[in-house]
Amino acid sequence: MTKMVVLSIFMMLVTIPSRILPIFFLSDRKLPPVVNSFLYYVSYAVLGALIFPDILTSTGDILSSCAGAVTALILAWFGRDIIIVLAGGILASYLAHLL
Amino acid sequence: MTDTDTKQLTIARGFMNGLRAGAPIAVGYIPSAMAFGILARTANMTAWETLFMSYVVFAGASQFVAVNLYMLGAAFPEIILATLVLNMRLIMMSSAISKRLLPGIGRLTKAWIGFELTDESFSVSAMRGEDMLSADFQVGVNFLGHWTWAIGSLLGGFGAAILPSSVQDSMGIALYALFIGLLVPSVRKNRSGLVVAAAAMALSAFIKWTPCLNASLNRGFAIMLAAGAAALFGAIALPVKGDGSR
Repeated sequence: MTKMVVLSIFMMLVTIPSRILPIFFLSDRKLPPVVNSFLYYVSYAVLGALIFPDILTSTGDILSSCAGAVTALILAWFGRDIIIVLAGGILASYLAHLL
Repeated sequence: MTDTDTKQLTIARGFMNGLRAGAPIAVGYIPSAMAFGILARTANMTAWETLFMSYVVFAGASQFVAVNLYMLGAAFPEIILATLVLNMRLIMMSSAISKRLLPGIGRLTKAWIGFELTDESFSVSAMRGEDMLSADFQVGVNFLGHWTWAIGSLLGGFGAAILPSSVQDSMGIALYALFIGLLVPSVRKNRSGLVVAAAAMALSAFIKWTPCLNASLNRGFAIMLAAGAAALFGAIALPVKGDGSR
């Protein structure tokens, strides 16, 4: 085993508990309402924190990032399929890149 | 049709639905996977090592950080600790998804679902309209993304500049567009979800734009803090009725 393989195995081992243990121990268990409310909001909170502000630097320059972000926002607002939102966002940031 | 036939059909249908729901994740992974492969090559990792790391670690940000730290000459314990902290945010996602899985899933399947859980697959599954998700669905959601990540990084490692760099750059928006495509339609119908998402954005920006905070927290940990605080705020200020599962 090379040292990068060893490193990968350790990285996997320290990540696995975060990923697996909650599913293992919480899935068939009743939780207090406040915890359930918290978990209900986690998805909205995680998406919010992931999107902003990191989206502004996602393509390397702010103009093309904003063009992609606004296009994706508009397409998503009008309920377009995810794959259209993705394609539209990429296309808009590509076009802004060419300018 | 026998009972077993019906059961197998249901499993196949769940898996196919998962594949369909997870396909956009695979598209979104292509640019970052290839960028990771290129970075790994710069760090003199072999194609096999790159593929192995991408398959078993399967956590993009921590892989970029690890290889960067390695090139800077960091010691392995430091890299492993950074990985642990960066990926602790998955605790919240794993906990949240555990409330949406149908009861009675076997231990091995649960372990596999957890092993493949990422920001992206969590987001796709969490934003589904149905209350409870089957194991087959969840395995399907992860399948294409996991392999695309692994093979994409392998191709990047061969220096295969399949995409011109201007296209590669624009595709940096892909995962964020995916997140927007998941978040926006669901907060249109859900005022309290919108409030929580906006609070998380504000906190996330506050941490990133406050130099001393940004320098002392790694980004995965910062996202966990911002999202955790926003979700806690939601739980207290806007409690969900019923069992809260949906």
